[in-house]
Amino acid sequence: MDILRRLLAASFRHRGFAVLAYASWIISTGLSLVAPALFKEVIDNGLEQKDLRHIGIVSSLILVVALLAALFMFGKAFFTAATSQKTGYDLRSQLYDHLQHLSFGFHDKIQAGEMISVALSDIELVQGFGTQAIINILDTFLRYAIVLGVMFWLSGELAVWSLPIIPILGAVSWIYHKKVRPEYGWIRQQRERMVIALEEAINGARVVKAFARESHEKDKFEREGRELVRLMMRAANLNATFGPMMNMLGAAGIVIVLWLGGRLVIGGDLSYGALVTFVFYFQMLMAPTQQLPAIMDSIATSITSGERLFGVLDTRSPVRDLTGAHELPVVRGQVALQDVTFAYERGHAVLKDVNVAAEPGKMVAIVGPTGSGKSTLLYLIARFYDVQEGSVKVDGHDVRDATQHSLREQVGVALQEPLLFADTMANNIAYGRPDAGMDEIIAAAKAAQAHDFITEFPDGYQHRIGERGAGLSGGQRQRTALARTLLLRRPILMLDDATASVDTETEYRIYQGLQSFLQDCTTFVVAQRISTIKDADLILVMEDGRIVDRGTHEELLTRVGFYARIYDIQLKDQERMAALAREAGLGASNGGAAHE
Amino acid sequence: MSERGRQASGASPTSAGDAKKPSTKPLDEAEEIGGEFDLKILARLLGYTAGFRLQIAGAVVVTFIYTVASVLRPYLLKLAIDGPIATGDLRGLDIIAVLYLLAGLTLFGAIGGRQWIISWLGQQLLFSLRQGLFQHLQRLSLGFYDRNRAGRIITRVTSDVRDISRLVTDGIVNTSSDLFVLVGILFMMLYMNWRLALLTFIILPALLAVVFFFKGKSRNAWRIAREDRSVMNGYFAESILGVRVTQAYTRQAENLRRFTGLSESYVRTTLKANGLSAAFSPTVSIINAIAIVIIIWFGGVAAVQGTVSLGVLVAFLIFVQRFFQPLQSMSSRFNQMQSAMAASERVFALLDQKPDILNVPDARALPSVRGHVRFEDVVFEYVPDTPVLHGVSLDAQPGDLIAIVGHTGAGKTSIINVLCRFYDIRSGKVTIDGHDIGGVTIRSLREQIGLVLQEPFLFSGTVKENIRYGRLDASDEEIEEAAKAVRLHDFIESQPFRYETLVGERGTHLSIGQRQLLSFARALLADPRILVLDEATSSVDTETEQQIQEALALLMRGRTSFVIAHRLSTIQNADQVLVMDRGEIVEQGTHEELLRRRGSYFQLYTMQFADQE
Repeated sequence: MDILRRLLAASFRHRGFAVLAYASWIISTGLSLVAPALFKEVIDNGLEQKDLRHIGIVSSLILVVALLAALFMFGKAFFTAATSQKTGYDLRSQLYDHLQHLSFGFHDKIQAGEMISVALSDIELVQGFGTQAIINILDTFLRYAIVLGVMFWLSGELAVWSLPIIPILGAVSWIYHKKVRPEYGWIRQQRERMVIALEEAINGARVVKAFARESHEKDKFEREGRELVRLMMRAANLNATFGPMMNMLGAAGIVIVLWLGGRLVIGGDLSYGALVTFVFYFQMLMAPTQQLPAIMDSIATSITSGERLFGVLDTRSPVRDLTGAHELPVVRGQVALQDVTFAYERGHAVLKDVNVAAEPGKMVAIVGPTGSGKSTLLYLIARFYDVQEGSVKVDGHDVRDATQHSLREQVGVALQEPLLFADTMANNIAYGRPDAGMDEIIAAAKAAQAHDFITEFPDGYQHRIGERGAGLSGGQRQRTALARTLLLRRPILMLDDATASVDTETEYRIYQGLQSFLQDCTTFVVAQRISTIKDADLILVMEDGRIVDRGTHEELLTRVGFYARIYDIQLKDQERMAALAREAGLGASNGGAAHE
Repeated sequence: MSERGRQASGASPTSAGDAKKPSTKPLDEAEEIGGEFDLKILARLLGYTAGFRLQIAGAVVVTFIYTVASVLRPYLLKLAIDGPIATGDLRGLDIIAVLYLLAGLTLFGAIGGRQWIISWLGQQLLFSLRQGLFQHLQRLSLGFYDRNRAGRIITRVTSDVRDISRLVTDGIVNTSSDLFVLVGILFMMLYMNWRLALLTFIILPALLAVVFFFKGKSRNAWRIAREDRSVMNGYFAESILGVRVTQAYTRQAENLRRFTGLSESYVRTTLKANGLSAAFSPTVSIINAIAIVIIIWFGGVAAVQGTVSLGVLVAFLIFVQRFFQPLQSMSSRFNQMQSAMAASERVFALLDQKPDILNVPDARALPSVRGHVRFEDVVFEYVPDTPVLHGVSLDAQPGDLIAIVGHTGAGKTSIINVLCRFYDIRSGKVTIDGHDIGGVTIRSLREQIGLVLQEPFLFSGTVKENIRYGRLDASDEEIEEAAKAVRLHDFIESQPFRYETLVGERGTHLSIGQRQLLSFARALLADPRILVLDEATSSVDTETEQQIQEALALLMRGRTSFVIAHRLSTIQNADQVLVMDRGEIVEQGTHEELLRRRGSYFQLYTMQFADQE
């Protein structure tokens, strides 16, 4: 009931249009039902009395009624559409803004792709509720009421004998509906399965070919295709049985009217005109009766969709601004985590008693195995999640006391997944600062080693990329995303494994060029390759949600542990090669030249 | 001008002269082009219905019965009114009631039968077209997949094929039935009273004009609205997928502004389309009303004079309302047929693509090899006259590990493409145990080569099915052994459904490292003599890295392995390191040898670390 009320409320925000829609509906239905009654008038009082003037008058009346009915029919259709489109617009904006402000905790739990298609189609299903759906239902009953009234007025006896056909027709159409609806569900599922088989054979073409599995794929696709045909034919059988059956029932009704009505006319109990008019009215009951189950269903669908939609709209963001949250002033970049404990799911702590203090302008690197909590630590500083215990402070302000907006305005993050948008390279880099000048964009791209590949595109920075950065390699995407972050120039900068897909050589050049950008920032870097973080002011070694060691590169090497172990694996050989290189006189001075 | 145009279109890749050569042009990118009615295409389409002649004939016969029965019903009404009811003949009334019921029953059978046959035909046609297209796609070589976007190809097999099958069922079968009904109605009206009929037909041109005018307009308007909608939905989807970025960059306000802009424009175009649609049926009903008035006025006058009976008037009133339906469905089908024509053209263009790689006429199966691979002066190009391999020669003894290194674009992947014969070379020779790979069957060649991609591809299905892809007849025990060997077994066992755990698009998400291990297991199960591996560049954490190293060592043991190497350890263990630059092997030797040589390899691998000090 609450859902119904809210759905109606959404439609009636556009009261003017809604009222016009309802008014046009009543008038047009009323007028369209008048026409057959005029037929009776023509036949009984015009033709039978041979009164040509009367025929003329009624004919013009029929035309006027038809014109007016047409006008209001248009009004009904148009204003209904207008109300529902405007309602849809409201709901979409509301949903969009709401989803944008729900924090990471919400988005982690949903399947984004599924959620999007469901939400958008839900809106299209509910936007017409207050007008279209309600009017459809009311229209059925209005027609019943008027038509039944007229039929009894024309001939009570004929009405009593012919009307039982209507509930039978209703029942048949209801049964048909119940049977066919699940069939379409199966068909949709099967079609999806077939498309998946197709997509995989195409996206995995290299694997299919490498293993010479073409015929295996063909068989798989054929199985799915055959099953789809089977299901489609099952639904077709239902249609081929029930459709004609309903048609047949209509015919049976007419036969009753004709047979009984004929007798009444012969007996002088019914006029010719009344019989003919009765036939027309009787036929007017067929369509609404057949459509009623579908209309009822659409109401049920609207309610389900409405529940889902409002369910999302009612979700409170896990991270919210406190009442009375203040704007964070411009910070210097001092970051402190004190006794922080955090869990994504209750009972599975990802960070345990973490303490970190970073001074302005320093670089803090975090290393550790997958799942040790490195990214999480960064997320907490930007307050994408709230800590369960302890506190995160920036320049001494607890991040929970500041507004999210003012905090994030001062934090730049390059996320692990370098998600780009379907737009030009320049706009992608300027994503966080749409007003940035071209020179700034280029400077950021140069620092991220993205400038060279961007200028290789025929239209350079105006080159458009596809959805999620389609058309760029993984490394290029990461470099673009890095440029996007560098352009922000915010006091606190966090790079979450931001160069993982970049090859070692380019990565090295990136970190060389980054120095000038990082000078005034407090920087947090999560990295897998030790070569990139050797020079950090502080290296945190994380394992299983705890900081197990901390210090500079040299300090950490002196201790036996995780850091020394990965150093052995990753860097020892490379340092040996570096030694070889030095031996060969390929030092920093002429290294660049030798490379050319 | 038109002469020139014709010449230009004659030179298109579908013309006979070019058909022999495989087309290297990507599939047509334009979706919304309306097709011309091309008789050649129509004839080719009809070829697909050859197996269903009997069913089509059946559909036509049933449709004819349907027409007769549905046209007879209003006529029986007329007979009743003018005959028995007027004369008071009760027996006659009974007879007509029974006839009416019979017409209803015939209609019952005819409608059902017609619907069934049409669905059946449509489904069979859809199935055979789809299957034929899929089979053809499987035959096309990798070059085709490299040139064409997956989404495009998928559209061909799904919606284009559906459009075509609609052309046959809706277009041909239903249009004929609509024509039958229309002709039947016109005939009955003329038969009952030709003067009144001709008068009534005055509205036909108006009806036709309205139907076609509105349909064209509103189809166009809806197409624009649909485009706006898909742009809006696309933006919505992208925003949600990128919501973390948006929040991190505090772009919510700007994004909302853009979204509401798109949403507004969608509402505007939709309302325009809605307006056209909303005006359509009122306009038709006005025309209808005019027809009714014509019938009542002229018919009424005639009835008063006694030249027209009441029954005829009633029948006319019913018939005139049924004019409209077949006309409307024919007009909407006209557009459908146009887009189906365009779809057929696209699908046939796809079917006409010849596979680049074919077995030579006398190809033999490659016998079990030991794994001695030789490249002799191989020249290879993707696009004619821009070679990417310039005379590459190499010799890999059975069991050797060959590491290929070099910058992006140096030709590393091309070596793999040539070895697996995903592409054919321009000159030179590639042999395995002395057999030219161009002379053996593709299947026998690829079954002896195991390929592991940089980004492993998983099919949706269970873990077990994915490993089994390497060898379809492998037993569950063998699959488990392979998983154990690559040290993936423990992870799989820790999953709730173990080997039945679903992976792929809808299943459990596996990390990149786990996916790599799974693809190793797949290759291990296939047990090829030659292994081709593109090492992943993306870094995984150190623990997983070690696991991968060990699995890799095991996988390569006893096989001739070609590895596009990114890991130092792989390179150090290699029997030969090939240093590639701009399509040539510039250096060749073991890691130690190459270091000592102080050439390109040495520069490639020491530069950055030297710089670092």
